[in-house]
Amino acid sequence: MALTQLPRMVVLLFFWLLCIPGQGAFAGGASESVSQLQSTLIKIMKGGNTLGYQGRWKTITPVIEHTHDLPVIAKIAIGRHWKELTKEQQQEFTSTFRELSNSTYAGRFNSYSGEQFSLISEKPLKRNRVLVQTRFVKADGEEIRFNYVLHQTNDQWKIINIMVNGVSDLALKRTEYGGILKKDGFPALLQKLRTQIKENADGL
Amino acid sequence: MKTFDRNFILSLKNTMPTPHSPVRVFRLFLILLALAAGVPNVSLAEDTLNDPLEVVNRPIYQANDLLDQYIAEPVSRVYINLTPNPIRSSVSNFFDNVKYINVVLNDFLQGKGKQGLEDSSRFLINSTFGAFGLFDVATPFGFENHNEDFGQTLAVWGLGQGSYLVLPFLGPNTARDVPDLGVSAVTNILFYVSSPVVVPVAVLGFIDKRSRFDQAIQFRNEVAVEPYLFTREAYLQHRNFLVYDGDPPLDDEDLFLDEPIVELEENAPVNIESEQAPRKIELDPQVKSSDLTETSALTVSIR
Repeated sequence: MALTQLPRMVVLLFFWLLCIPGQGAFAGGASESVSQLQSTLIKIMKGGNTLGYQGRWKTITPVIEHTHDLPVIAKIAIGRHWKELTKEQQQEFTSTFRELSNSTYAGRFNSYSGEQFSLISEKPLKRNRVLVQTRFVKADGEEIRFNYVLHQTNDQWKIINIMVNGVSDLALKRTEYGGILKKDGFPALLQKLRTQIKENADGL
Repeated sequence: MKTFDRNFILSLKNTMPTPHSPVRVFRLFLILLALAAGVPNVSLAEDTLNDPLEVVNRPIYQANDLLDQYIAEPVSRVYINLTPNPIRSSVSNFFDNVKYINVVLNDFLQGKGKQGLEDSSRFLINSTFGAFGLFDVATPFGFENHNEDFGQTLAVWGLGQGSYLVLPFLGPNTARDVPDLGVSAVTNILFYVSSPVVVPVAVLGFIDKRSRFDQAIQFRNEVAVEPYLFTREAYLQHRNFLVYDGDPPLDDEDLFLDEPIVELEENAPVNIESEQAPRKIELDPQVKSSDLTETSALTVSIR
């Protein structure tokens, strides 16, 4: 390479470096996480009864694990009661919660009639989190807003909250779980979650 | 609040009322409302602070649930199964239109002048060209459906949410939303129709409303592990969503208040600089409040 080429190479290299996503600087990865989740959801919706609960579960579970930060969500969902639990209880809760999330997706997204997701926008939030706004359009034109809050762990953008038309899934769970814990205690909460998992699997 | 018109409220505050003037009486009414409403501006993340009447609300909720299970749901199911989609659409359009003056009124009360004019046009177009509201001919012309009511107006005016209430038959409500029951009644055209046909029409209105919520209620029944709390949270959050016209501030959403960041997110980099140049990827900035159809809300509320 002739020396005269060097300045041009430097310029090219400079522009190329500008395009590389820095840690947290280019938040496009968050939208990608959400898109991956949503396209897999459409897939299992289309699969429906052909796939069956087991088939849908097999398809969606790895994607959920990849796109959601389930341990963090579980921790937040149980709120200040987390500290009151023993280590075994914490582990038991997290694994039951994980199973519940997977089974809810596999159980509820079980039929397709022309629905579509589309990305609206992505914006940064405080504490290095990102808000991805999307819409879910049904065949009759009705639109539902799905917004996701994501954070980064190990260079991967993961969902920590989902808001459907402004209603936060995490807030719902926090209130429910907090209420059950206060009234009936931890074993009762686990029991309710397990019943819910079974109902999801049975298609009830 | 983006759409909150500061000037409008300032002008209201700066009026110098004479004793017993309508403005003074109205202000007194607002103060009384505020007292009745209880603790103002309560964060939605708190569990029980906004539900001091839980002891009374729960049995009413159970009763409503039974009524729904054994009467409202079966009736609405028959309606959905027997009535073709286009007819149900027309019925929904009719009832939306008949109540639309409430939207227009509250547009202006919130200082949303432009939207008020648009909604007035929408009402007139649908009432005339849309055959008394049966057909939504206004939307294709750009006059979209908006969702405003007196409860949202009171919120815009600064009133706190107040206690959560479960009303018999009517379902979830708050102290702040209760006045809308009156306002929406007197702005409803059917209120002024004196013929006995109003009764079956009103019944049809309830059935129409219930059928629109059918999917949301089914979802709640399938997914909630604690239905009373689920309904309460969903209702309160949805109301907040409507007050902010689909763009509630996420600071209030910060549920992570009782956990230090480091403990919660062990692997995420702690970045204190939230003021770096925002990288917004706007693929669809045209997000309108017409997206906020009440039917997709996870709430049960007849208003």
